[in-house]
Amino acid sequence: MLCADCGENKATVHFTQIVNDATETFHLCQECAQKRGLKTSPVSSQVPLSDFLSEMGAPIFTKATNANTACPRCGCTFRQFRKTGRLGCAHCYATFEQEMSALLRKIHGSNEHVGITEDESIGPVDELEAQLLEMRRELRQAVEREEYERAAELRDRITALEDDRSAARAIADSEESP
Amino acid sequence: MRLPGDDILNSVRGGLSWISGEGPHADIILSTRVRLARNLEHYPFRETIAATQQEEVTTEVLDAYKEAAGSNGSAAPRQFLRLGELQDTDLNLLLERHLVSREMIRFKEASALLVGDGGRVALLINEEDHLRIQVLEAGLQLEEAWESARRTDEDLRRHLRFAYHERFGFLTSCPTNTGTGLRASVLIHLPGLVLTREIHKVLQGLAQIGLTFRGLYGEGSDVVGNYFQISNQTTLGKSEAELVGHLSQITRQVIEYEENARQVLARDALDEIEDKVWRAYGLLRCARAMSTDEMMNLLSAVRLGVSMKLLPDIRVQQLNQLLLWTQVAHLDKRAGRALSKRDREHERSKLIREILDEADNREPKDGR
Repeated sequence: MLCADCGENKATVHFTQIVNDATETFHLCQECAQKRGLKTSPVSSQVPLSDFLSEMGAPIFTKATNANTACPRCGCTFRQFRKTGRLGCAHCYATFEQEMSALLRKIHGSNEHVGITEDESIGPVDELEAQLLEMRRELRQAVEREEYERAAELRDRITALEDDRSAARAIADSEESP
Repeated sequence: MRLPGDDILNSVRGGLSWISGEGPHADIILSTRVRLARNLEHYPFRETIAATQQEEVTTEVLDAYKEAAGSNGSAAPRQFLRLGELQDTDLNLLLERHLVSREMIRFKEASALLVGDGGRVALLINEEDHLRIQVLEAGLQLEEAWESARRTDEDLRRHLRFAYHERFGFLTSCPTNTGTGLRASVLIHLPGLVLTREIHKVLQGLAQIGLTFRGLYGEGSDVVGNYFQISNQTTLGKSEAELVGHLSQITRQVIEYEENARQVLARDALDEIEDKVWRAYGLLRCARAMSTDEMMNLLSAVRLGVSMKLLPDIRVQQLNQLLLWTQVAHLDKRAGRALSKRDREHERSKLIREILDEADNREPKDGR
């Protein structure tokens, strides 16, 4: 179809105008459309449906080899999972690894995680942090058991370690800044 | 602007950062939200966890957050709420601010909420997953919100071990969240596309590229007032940055469609649009009783009018206040009691007039 205005170029812009209840449809080339002050990417034709890749599939549950197999850690069976759509614990993913692998692929179009990993961007394992974490846990237990002497000792050691860490951080920060 | 009862409302912190309307494209995008689903390695998921274990989860998350905040040197003001200790009005108020989910209210005895970092970051504890890190920003700020969520996650991972699988990534109670555990969303106002009947094409397009849409209040909620929540559908197989970047890119495209639609409206039906906008304004301005649904629809027209510069000088902040302060629990909280339906509709109309009065007091401009 050729442009209705110039009659030379191929009409690529199609639009309908409603004036006083009268509908009129125009077929114009890019250039003539612009002359008429039309934005040449009308709303309707702009959604690039054809460019979009369909990645979604309906979540379909796979047939477990044995629906009564239970997760050794939480006791959840695959049958239960199929009913609720919720897993019992993190270990269920290992227990039903094959089924989950297929299911995840159906839901997400992939079953390989490519994002941030468990310990990414934490940097090298921080010995000090780990030690602090453990000591705080001990402290909580000591308080619960009313072992106040032990608790006081732990508290002092934690404070000392935290001071060391703050000092180390301050040095690291001052080295980073210009 | 200060309104009576503001102090009471502000006593519940968090979920208000978007009200300012100071983010990019804030007239069309109300807010941006990013959340990460995480579970602690050594505790079962919600389906099988015991109440005492849920209490331990709460303690561990709280401790880890305190540690992280302490070692950052940012003694961020925070608020810790156990949902089981709250009145219904407060629970619904948190729901209206998107700080808790219906799921958390249903299991409120175990659920808790920690709000930090000036109310932008929230930790939702014992939701469907043990922990959901949520960041709320004004306008379109997906990358910024993701960065805040990433940092919070990283800080917490120094102190907590999350359930993780070499191949599947972060493990969640429901496999639809597995992998990154990331759900990014924007709350977008699309009256132009609705009025030009182009909205279905856009929504269909979203579904085909791994995005999904919902109403204002999440899964299963109706689309009211032309507000749509667009978010990523899948969480596995793409990195967080890719998921966020993709949503960001598509959102910008949808904004462009919306703006094009508004141009079409301004060109072909300006008189009708102007009439619709001013009528809505008139009703909000003068009515003596207003239901939520009526308010939401009128407010949508007024928001469109402000965006298209057809109305006097109303700021985006006031539009946002009109939207949130007039929700049921926010009205009840401000009044200090559970209002009857009739009283609430009366109070709502009164509050709307007060907010619009404030707008009028700033150099009134002629309509056009």
